[in-house]
Amino acid sequence: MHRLGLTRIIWCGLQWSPSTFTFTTANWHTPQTLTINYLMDGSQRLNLTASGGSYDWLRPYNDVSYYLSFTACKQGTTGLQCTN
Amino acid sequence: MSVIGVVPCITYVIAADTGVPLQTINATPRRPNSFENDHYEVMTYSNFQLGPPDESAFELPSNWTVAYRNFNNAVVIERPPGTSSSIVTATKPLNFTLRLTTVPVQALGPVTLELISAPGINYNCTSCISVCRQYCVV
Repeated sequence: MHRLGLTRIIWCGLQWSPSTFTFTTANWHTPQTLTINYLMDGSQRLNLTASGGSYDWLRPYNDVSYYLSFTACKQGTTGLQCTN
Repeated sequence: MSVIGVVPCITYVIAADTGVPLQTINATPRRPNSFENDHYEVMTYSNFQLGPPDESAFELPSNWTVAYRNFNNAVVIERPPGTSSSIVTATKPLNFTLRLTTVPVQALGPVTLELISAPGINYNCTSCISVCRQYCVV
């Protein structure tokens, strides 16, 4: 019998769902919900891009307003403990 | 008969297979003993359509947004009322709502929004790897 310790590296402090949203001419004005969940400490930036339906022009410009920054923090005994 | 010669008094131009008048051309001779000239009076009719526009009539090229950008296109990202933080904890996930500011052009298909991880200080890839620390018995 052998015991093996396995460790995998994590790069992201967050999980989000869903990763894609679809808007049609029927539901374009109905808000859709994005949920950001804690995975481990750290800050992270998400890039939101749009394509299709005349929205493709957003992609080459990478408008900075479509970057979302988050910080994932632990809840310690003395308050939130955040690391960048 | 006029100095123009023999011409039709009036010509109708209609759209093919519809009968919708597009233009009439009326030949008008000068009046006798006047300094007028013979001339044509051209009447062009504009065709208006009431009701919802038919996008197929515009025959949009697939790359029309390159030449004719709709600068009103945008995505609105809203936080829930009463929240202003971007801090996520294990017990408090964050919820946002996404919506468009303008209706998609139907001929160009639905709009797809995609969220991917952007490279930063703590990570240099856009593909997340889940963490796992475990012991396996073999």
